[in-house]
Amino acid sequence: MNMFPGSFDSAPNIANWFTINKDGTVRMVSGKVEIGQGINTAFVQIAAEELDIDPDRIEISAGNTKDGLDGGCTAGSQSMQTEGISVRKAASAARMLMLSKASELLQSDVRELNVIDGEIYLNDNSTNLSYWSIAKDIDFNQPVEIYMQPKLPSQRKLAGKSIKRIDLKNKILGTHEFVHDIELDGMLHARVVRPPSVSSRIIKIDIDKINTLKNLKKLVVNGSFIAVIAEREEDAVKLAEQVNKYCKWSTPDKIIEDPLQFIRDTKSPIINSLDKGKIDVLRFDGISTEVSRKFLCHASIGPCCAVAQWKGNTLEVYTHSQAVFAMKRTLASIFNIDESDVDVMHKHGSGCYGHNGADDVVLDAVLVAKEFNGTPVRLVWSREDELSWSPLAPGMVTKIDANLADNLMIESFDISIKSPPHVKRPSGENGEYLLAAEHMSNPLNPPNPVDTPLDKGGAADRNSMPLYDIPNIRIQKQIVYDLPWRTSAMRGLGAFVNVYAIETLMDDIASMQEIDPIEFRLKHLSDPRIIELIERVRDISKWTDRSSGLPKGFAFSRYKNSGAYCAMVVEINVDEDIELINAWAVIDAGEVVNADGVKNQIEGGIIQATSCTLIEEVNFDGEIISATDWENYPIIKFKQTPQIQVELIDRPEEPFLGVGEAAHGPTAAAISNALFTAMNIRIKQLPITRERIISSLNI
Amino acid sequence: MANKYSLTVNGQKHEIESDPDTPLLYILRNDLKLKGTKFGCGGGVCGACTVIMDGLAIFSCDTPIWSIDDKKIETIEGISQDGIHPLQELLIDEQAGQCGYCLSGIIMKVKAITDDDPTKSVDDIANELDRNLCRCGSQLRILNAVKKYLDGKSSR
Ligand code: FES
Ligand code: FES
Repeated sequence: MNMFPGSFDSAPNIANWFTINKDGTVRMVSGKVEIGQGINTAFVQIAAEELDIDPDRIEISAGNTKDGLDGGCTAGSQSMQTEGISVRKAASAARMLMLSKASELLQSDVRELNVIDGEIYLNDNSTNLSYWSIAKDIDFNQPVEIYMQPKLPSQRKLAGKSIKRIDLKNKILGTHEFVHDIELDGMLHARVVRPPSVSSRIIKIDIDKINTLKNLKKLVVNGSFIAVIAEREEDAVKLAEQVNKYCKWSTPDKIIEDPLQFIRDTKSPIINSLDKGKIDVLRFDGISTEVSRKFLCHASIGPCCAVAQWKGNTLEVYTHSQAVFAMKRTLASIFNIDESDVDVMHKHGSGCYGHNGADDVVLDAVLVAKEFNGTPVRLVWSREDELSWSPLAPGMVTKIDANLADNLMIESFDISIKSPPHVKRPSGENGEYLLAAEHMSNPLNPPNPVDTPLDKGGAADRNSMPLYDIPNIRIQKQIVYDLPWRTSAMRGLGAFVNVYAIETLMDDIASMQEIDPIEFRLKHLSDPRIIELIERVRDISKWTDRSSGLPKGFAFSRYKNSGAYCAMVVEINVDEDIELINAWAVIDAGEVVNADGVKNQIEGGIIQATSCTLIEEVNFDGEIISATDWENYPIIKFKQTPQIQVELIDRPEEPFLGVGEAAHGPTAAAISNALFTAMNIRIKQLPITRERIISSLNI
Repeated sequence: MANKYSLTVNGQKHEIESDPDTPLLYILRNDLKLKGTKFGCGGGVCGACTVIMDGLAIFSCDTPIWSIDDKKIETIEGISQDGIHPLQELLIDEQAGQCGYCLSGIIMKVKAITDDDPTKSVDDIANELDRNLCRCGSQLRILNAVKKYLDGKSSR
């Protein structure tokens, strides 16, 4: 692994990360952005630990291209694993640099010095020196690499403590400024006028009529990208609807009746993700499963928003994008301007743990703002835009054929995955996957994205590699590019369906052999870390006395096979609908920085995954996406909230492991396994709805 | 056509000139600069825009200004004017929230329910939060805070 993961290419020096102010505060730069996961609180905590200061002293600036620190995209539960280490190194280097200066001034050895909240002590006696007094005489433009000296696990004091989220208090008080709340002088409001479906294009637009509409400041027409600008927000909302009455759009020529069947029937080239041992393709005498999931919406509560302002040929954007530098490069390339003339600044948005229209709305706002050079323009999507014009999470089909050996152990898994692309993020290098880029008069046609290979974490095939001791495994994937709908990353990517396939199949085989499903798994495991995890959840959930009480189900996975481990037991109630009542999760995330932050991520993950497992699905009417509001795309409600108990196995000596997406797959599979226990039915198509249960009972 | 309306928001009287159909949400956010109240759906389904009108939780996104002339409105900014509201304190203690976008609407709804009837149970409240959505899965922690809030109320 790269010794300097994260942002060191763009930020090799201590000064790139930290500014020590004489008023006793520290400014810290972060390349990762807050999407609800609490990442910057964890970074503050890591930095405070290494610097030996109170976390409250640190002000963080995150995801601002003006800071020059390029942390890449905030995604894939990678932030702690990569950037967390960089923050630790950079902070330790800042401390060491300041201590070397102090040792010079005190004519002492660095080893005789220690720090308490920024005050410097010599052999435990106070000196008149502190970070705040000596920083001005230090040149922080020194390589992190030379000075870094992170503490040993035994020296850490803050690690594992649950400090409070730095942003949450103001969010609870209603005073936090989200991107939606930015107010700039003279700011105008805009909305996009949407075609009826993805491949519709404008045929005719009655501009004369439109120009007579009240309160219209300007109509923007750029090919099929049409938007309205008004001084007041509610006028922009109204005008977008009115204008659409004067637009004639083409109707799509290709109708796909059953998108999941289309995916199943794909002729896309087969990509070999993994070949381990030997699969006897001629022999199949085992047991197989084919599971699928319908398309899902990202479904943020607040629709996507961006604020853009052109000043001559320079551009400033406020956004909740997960990748500000990629956005900067993409905008420079689309508008053919210098990268140095674009600045992109992150502001918190409304969460979903996926790639919704956060990037798309940026281009919308920038195109509109171009018509009013010098004036800031704020553009918020409508509810319908958010649900049906954000990229969808792709529908997906995973099939596994398992053969068993004579001793009834699993001999082989032959796995096939079919899915539209999971990741279509703008990259700036011919990856301008932005909605408006398809509608502009010179539409961009970026090439199809390459599905991340399995050894880099995979995308469609993420978590398709079982961690059980199975001697022969073949994994193949086919990426379906010829569906009209835009798709991109949602929490877990392919892991959601692949873990569902593996973990429900494990239960199917165990049941065939009449073995306890956890026992059956343990027979196929040798990694002590996994065994400890599973035994723990078995204990805390009282798995073994299952004779009474609600039906239970179990599932396990390690996110990406390289992130956090998650073993889960759930209890469901099967009545008119299925309801998740209790969940127990045991998590091994390596070294834990903020225990409560990890728990919050897992609890939230379980609740969101329950919604995806039991409720959510996008339907299509021809090409039209059915999800236009919360009535036809319902998500989980308060009354459906389960009780959740999360336990962490802290391993301070081990590296951080990302937790953000760890709970998704196990939640779905554990619920399905509990239903299997309760009713002996296996629902193979997600979501598990009452209709699917009834129809599987009728067969 | 612009008309004149007077409304009291968080104890302060305002005279507003506005088209009668303008939703209260935009008056609060854009005229009075009270940005704690959020837009989510515009259709009275998600609860992000919830404020309290004369003691009752309403969706400000589909409440036109003409219908609230002379009414008293309370927003998220108003409930902590004399120090952090106990419900907010408990939410902070529980670290109830992730992106936080849904929170102000949920807080206003819970406050309206419990001000009106302090004997409600946490299950009652969960049922009444049917039109308050959260995408990040913060429901469990929010309900835990609400439970403590109810316990505190009944022991007071
Ligand atoms: S914005 Fe008012 S209920 Fe959704
Ligand atoms: S915390 Fe993100 S929507 Fe509720």
